[in-house]
Amino acid sequence: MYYLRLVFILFFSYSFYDAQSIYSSYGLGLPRSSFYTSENGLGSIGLVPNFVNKVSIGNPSTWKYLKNAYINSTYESQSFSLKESISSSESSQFGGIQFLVPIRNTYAVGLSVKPVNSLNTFFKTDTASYLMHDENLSLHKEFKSGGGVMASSFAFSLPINAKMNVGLSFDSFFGSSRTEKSIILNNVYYRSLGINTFKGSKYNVFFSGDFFESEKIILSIYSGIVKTNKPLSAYVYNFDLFEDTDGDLIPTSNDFPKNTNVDTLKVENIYAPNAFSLGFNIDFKNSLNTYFEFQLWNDNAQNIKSLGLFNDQIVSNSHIGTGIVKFGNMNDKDWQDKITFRLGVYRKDYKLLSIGNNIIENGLSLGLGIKFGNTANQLDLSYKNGSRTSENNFSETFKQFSIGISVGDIWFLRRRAKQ
Amino acid sequence: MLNRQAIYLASLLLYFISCEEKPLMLNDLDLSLSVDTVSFDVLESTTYQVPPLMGGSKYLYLGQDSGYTFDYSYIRASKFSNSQYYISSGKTISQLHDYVDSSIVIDSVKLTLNFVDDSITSNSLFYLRYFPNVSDSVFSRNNSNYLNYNTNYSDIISYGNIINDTTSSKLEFLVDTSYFNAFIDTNITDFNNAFAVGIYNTEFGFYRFYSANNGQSTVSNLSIYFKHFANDTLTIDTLSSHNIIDDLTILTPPKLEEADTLNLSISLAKGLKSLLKIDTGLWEMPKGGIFRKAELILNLITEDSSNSEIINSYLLTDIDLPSTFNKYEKEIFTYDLTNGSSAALSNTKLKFNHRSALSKSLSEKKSIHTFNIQPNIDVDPFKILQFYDTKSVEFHPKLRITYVLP
Repeated sequence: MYYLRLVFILFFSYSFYDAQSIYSSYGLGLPRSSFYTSENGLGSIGLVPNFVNKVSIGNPSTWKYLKNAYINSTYESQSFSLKESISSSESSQFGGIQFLVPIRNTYAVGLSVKPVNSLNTFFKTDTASYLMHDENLSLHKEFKSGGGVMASSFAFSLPINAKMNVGLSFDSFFGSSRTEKSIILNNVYYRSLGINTFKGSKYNVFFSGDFFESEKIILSIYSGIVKTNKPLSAYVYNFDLFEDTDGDLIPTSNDFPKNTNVDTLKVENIYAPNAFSLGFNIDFKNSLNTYFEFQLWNDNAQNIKSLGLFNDQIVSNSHIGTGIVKFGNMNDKDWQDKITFRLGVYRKDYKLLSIGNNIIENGLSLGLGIKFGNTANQLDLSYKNGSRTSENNFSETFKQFSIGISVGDIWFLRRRAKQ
Repeated sequence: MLNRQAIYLASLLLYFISCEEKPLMLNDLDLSLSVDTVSFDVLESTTYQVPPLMGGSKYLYLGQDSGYTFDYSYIRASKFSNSQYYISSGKTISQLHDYVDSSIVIDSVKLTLNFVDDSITSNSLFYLRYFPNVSDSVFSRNNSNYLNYNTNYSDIISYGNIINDTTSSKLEFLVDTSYFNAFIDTNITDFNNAFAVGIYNTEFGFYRFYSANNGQSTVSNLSIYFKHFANDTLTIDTLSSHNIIDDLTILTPPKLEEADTLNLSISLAKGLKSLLKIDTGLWEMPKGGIFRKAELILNLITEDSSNSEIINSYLLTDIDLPSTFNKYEKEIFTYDLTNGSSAALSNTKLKFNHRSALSKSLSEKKSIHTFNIQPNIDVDPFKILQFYDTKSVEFHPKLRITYVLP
């Protein structure tokens, strides 16, 4: 039954394979720093206001400024192309979903589910044909990985004083990933499969405060600290190489060998993120804001081998970003004043464990936010264009389009007594 | 105004739909997974002879030809009739002992064999015996041969008549009901139901009949004609048929010629099989690798491109093989029947994929692997296929392994 359950997971998971960055093939893939469309549109890591004025939906310490409870969800579509390759890869996937409730303009709580890492990759090689012992042999390879680490999060915020707030969130990691390496000889697949299931947790502390205010501007400071509570552990199931004779993707008695061996092991400490983030925001009091953010992120995990397609690990990342945002106001007359405009640029510097050369990611992002309805519903759109380069390694460009829907409602509002 | 429920549904839909498009194309520089190959020459090879076994053949043979003598064809009828007959007492007539009933009288019994060829005219005399003194199994398609077949049969109980119609010919034996009574003795409910068909005066070589292995449309049968006295005024004449479910020709092969043992020879009717020994030495499958193919390759001596016979090969558990031709009265080598392989001759080459066998053999830390080769049962039994043996330099038989590495 245990084996059957594994096979079922494997079979089911094939429905959710995506194509994504080649760098998602390293270990647990690229760590995500933004989850929602409003963050993507600003090129932000979610520290500074990006959703509405004074509010970042990624920063719990800002949630008390929300006027409504919200359900946010984001869906992303990406296109990747390698410099060395004429083809490109497209994919789309769920970005995150969140439920936020501000309480009497003082407190706030939130629940969310979001992907923490991206392992989605699909690449293949050109077909080579040659003669081997009187047999015409065509050969190519396919590599796929999918799934990743998800986090279910509970967060709340508290005021420190009238101008400062603190937010706490606890992320419980879960999810599974799978890898498939195939060599295809005369249309017969020889596959090796891996399945990993994850468990772990971390917590985050956020801070926001208005530190300077004049007639024209408000200077706010935002910060965040990420600490691992329980490093990610995984049950790793590695299926030995098998000939997929019946072409049903999973090892069965119709394949060779009839009984594919599965190695099962528990691996501890495969992901232990720690980060410090700092952001500055200047509110020009005319709905225009400009920001600056940076983040130092590192993974202290030590047992990352055999989880991804390539045996490597992104051990650290530094992020720096800046941009401007003009928040829309539902009460303005002109339509352009009702729309939120976002523009940002950023740079990330990933360091891999084994490869000496860092991966440099540069990105430019644009975003819109359109409010509608009586409860300040918001439709967010973002477009991000960037590149990842590494000396003596892959160079890729990517485009990302994301759409976010935030549905507002009013909770914890005192109702009038019936007359 | 956007409908909120529609938004919720759209969000859920987006959550569950993730679409896959084209993969990225990469150059295969240092990617894992590769294919490799290794070959081993066959170390020793020889041919041996055992009494021919014709079990499983599509045809039964009777007569003589080219030194072959088809002594008998043994056949066994099913104890169940093809259709059930219900008599007035509520009893069902199906098995042979069911005919023992006061309301049943056997009129006649007829055994019919179907010739492969039509318009048969012959002065040969076909005869029938049965086995009243053998209580259980009379013959085994896997073991009975001209040296050990069961001769505890009766005197001749019937001579056959050849019946020709426009499209086919049949051989019919009328069996006296007194013999049939031995079948339906209530004390022998599990009687052997077996017959031996023989022949005298085989001036026209041999005769072929369809075997039970050829399918239902040509199957021979035992017909039982009987009367059923349903009541004082009603008597029903009817018949039941019992198909032949097992059969075997007992064949005495001719003496071997010198050419039969010069190379690696296989022949069904002569009982020729060949043996091959391979030493893979210290080689073992690299960790995590699997066999794509483990081909045992032999080359046919005769240049006959139309030849596409199917040959079987089995892993043997024996390590020591005879160095020269040997003749045995029974099979002395032990086959690993779960690790066999079949291959069709193609362009004079024969390639068995023995990856299952070799996986097993290597997993048992063996370096010596022995195989036998023999014709499949549907090969023309009189055909002798000869392959180059280890004396050949150019066409030396070999084991070629192709494997995939992680």
